[in-house]
Amino acid sequence: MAEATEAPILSLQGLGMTFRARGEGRRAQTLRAVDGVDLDVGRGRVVGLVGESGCGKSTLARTIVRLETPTDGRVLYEGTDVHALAGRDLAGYRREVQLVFQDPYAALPPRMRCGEAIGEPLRIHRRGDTAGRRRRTAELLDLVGLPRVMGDRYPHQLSGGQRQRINIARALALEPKLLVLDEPVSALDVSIQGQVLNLLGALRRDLGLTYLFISHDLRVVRYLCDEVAVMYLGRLVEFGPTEEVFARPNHPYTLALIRSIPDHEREGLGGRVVLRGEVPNPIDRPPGCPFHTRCPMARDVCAREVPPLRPVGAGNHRAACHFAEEVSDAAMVAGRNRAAGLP
Amino acid sequence: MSGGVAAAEGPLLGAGQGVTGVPGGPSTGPTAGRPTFRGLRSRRGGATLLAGLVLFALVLAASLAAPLLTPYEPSRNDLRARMHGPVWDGAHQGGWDHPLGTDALGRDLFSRILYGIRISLALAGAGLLLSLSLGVTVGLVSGLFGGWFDLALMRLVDLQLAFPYVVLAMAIVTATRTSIPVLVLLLGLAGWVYFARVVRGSVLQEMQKDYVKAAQVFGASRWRIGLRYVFPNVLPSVAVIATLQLPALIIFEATLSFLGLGIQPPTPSLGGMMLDGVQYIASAWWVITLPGAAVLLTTLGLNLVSDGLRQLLDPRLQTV
Amino acid sequence: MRAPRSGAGGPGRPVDVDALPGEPVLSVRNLTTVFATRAGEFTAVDDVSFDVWPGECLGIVGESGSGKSVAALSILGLVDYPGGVAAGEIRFRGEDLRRLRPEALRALRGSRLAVVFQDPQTALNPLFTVGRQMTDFVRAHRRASTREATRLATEKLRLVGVSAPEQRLRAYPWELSGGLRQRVAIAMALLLDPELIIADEPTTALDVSIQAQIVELLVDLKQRLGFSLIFISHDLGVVSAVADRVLVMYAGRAVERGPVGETFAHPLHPYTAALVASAPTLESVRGRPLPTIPGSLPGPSDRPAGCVFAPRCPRAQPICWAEQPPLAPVLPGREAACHFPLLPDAPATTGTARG
Repeated sequence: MAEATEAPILSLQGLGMTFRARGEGRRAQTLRAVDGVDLDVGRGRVVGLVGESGCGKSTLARTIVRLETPTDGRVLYEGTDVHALAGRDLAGYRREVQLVFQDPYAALPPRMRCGEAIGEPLRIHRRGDTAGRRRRTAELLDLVGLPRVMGDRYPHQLSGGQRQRINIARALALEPKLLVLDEPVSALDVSIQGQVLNLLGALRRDLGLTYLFISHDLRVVRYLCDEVAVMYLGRLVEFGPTEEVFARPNHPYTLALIRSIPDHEREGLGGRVVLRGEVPNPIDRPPGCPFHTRCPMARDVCAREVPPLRPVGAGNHRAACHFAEEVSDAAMVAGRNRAAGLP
Repeated sequence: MSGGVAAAEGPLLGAGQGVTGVPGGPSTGPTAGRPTFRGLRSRRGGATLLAGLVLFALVLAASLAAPLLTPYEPSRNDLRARMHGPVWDGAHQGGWDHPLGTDALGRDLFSRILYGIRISLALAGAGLLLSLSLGVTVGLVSGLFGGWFDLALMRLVDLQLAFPYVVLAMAIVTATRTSIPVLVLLLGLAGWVYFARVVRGSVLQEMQKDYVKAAQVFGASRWRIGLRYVFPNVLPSVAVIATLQLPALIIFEATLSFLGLGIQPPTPSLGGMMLDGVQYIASAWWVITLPGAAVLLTTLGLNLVSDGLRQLLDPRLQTV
Repeated sequence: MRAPRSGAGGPGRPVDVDALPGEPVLSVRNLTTVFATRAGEFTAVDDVSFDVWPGECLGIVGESGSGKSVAALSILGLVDYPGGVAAGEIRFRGEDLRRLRPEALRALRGSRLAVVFQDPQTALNPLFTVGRQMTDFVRAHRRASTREATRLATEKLRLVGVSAPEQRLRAYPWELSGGLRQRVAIAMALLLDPELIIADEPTTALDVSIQAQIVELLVDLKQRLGFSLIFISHDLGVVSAVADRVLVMYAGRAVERGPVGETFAHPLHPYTAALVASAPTLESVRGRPLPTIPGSLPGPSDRPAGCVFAPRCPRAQPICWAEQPPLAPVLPGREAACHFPLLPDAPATTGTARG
């Protein structure tokens, strides 16, 4: 692949985040929200990051945009450590990397007109004069497909989809290269989700953006992303090209996630596999593979040894499972059965 | 949407609302017409606010127009007309010469009350401005920057709240002799803690919101976040506290004057007038009662304003 | 067509409404619920009628603002000030709930008519143990000793697949995970063997894998215990996994009703068609623009005089703007409120427009 030779725009190296949790008793407890994540995001790619709540995906996003400082490892942007930046370099980083939040209403200042909110990054980074900024704001509204009058409205006067467009416009104001999108469509209605996803697709194509797209919805990730990273209990358990991961998942968790998706095109529970149990508390992480407590194919070794993320299958497809090869076989069988209408 | 399980009927689950038809009324049959919605909470807030504003505006206008409305100098004695009752109290020689009567020195109470309100409002207003600017600044800085500064300031706030302030004020006035600047300072220091606390609380709350995080991501400085993003959202609570504090300060000023520590005679002040009236309470009820009623009227108006504002500005009470 | 499914009588087991025994459990006629707002009166549920038959699951789908949750609250008599049911009939086992005295309705709720809400976090009181809440709940409705009530609570917890129920009874709600809390909420709904359970977005706050567990549980319980279920959700996938029939709501009105499989496979109403098409599925072609519905939900003040979907409908004709179509039978067992429903033999206008 061509991308493999080019240096990634964003590179997470052994990223870890430990929170001190004030638990009961005298024992100081620690919560390992992100645990040794290595992830490269290639220039111009859309990388999806999926996982259930509490898997650490949002913490990961916040460390990338410097809302949190990681306790281990580094975030490299264009080869430099993001958390070592200061002054002019930091301002430059603030221009090039932006975050879009899940709740479009909460992310806009409630008492500021939308146009003003879009212009804020420009004012902070002293881009252009008043007239220039007004022009740019209008341009941005065009770009995200909103009529210019929306700039004069307050956030509470807009619908959910319009608000998220305003958020995207604001994120684009400084012409960033990388957008971190933290569940950008989860709070929106189905029909509006489609509109925003289409917009994100078009913007990426027209502006040559790179996305780190965080979501719990595999349907959305599969639709938009080039590559998928799957997280479980703070660890990256599988990474690979989207088609590859969805067709031949190599981690039992990925397989279970894919098969627990409710899908109206697949009626009923016919093709569904329901994962037993729940995600363990990150304060009491199980030893060995984090998934072994719920894994249908766990064996003795899984409770002892943490499986490394290792190459499996084609491309740069990697999975952290001792028995990755068996998973993909199981997935193939299930897929064949489903196609043949068998249970 | 919040909710309960399987209907909120268990005694632990809170009282269920068994309303099917017209809100607030018993269930109605299907023949009942469309429900009407009188007295929406927001409108009630509006009515309270309006009543308060009207009352306060009347009091304020009367006191500002005191020189036009009153035929007498407030401190002019008229020994021939001592202890006249108000106009409706014929038993005490009430008459239109002195609509609210006169005191032991024959001074016109109507004039004195209007001028007294003027002074009270001016002092309380100046005190409010002082406590507001001090409190808001402290609260904002504490909330924005936190750390040892926040810790120290908040301990100071606790200390002041724990200490009986009137006693402290009495001590200070006795030590420094009464003067207008000292009074304003005392009034200002009486209320700043409330502003500081509430503003700090709101700032901390706002700082957790996504829009502040968003501003941090695109590089807004802490000051900019504080002034441009957080401050406007703190203003409603500041307004509510200000309308609560103003009447409290008016009463505080009256208290000091009543104790003889406030405005010194012959300048008319409501508290001072009440102090004068104490000794005649048995024979001339009006000398103490009418200035008291003036305090009540002024603070009532302001309290209504504050109530109405809170109902209008508190999002939890806002309807769809 | 229906895919073969595992086991006998899957969740989408076709329910032949005509062959159903007896009377509907719940019969809602012309339900209209309005709210007073500063801008005037807002009709959240507009003339909606439906039946729920014994042992059936009726799914109600719609986007936010469609009125699906308000419809549920109206049935339960829980529409809060400044809203209220303005018209209609809500018959539960033949009894009009709107005519019931508040105490009678309160007694009914939770016993014969139960609810499961979206957020199990707020549905339980954090100050009391699960056991205390469950036993108090039983005893609020019928005379029972603490022992009996505890036994009942244990039994129901076991029924919803909670392991070590005796232990869970001693736990506080916040000590339980989200999935477990929702199971407890379901167990509470089952305490007094209800005839009808209304579940309002019961899986929305949960993670995908837990969502699947709860869906499976509800389907299984319904089959074993034979209660009727109203399942409200915005997620077409979840609804198709649980419901037998589905009611599609848009802007306060019922726009389509029919068996869930056929309705989603071959929608009659252009709105249903657009909704089905706009959700990305595992089968969508990657990167190809998703079909979207242009425009947005009409606000309270700009509801059209005719069909509520007309302003966004690619098939709208002048009559659609002028005349409100009633929900009427189009095909056997299927109804749509549309002047020009998408009939299966019609040319391939999918009813979706590119945004």
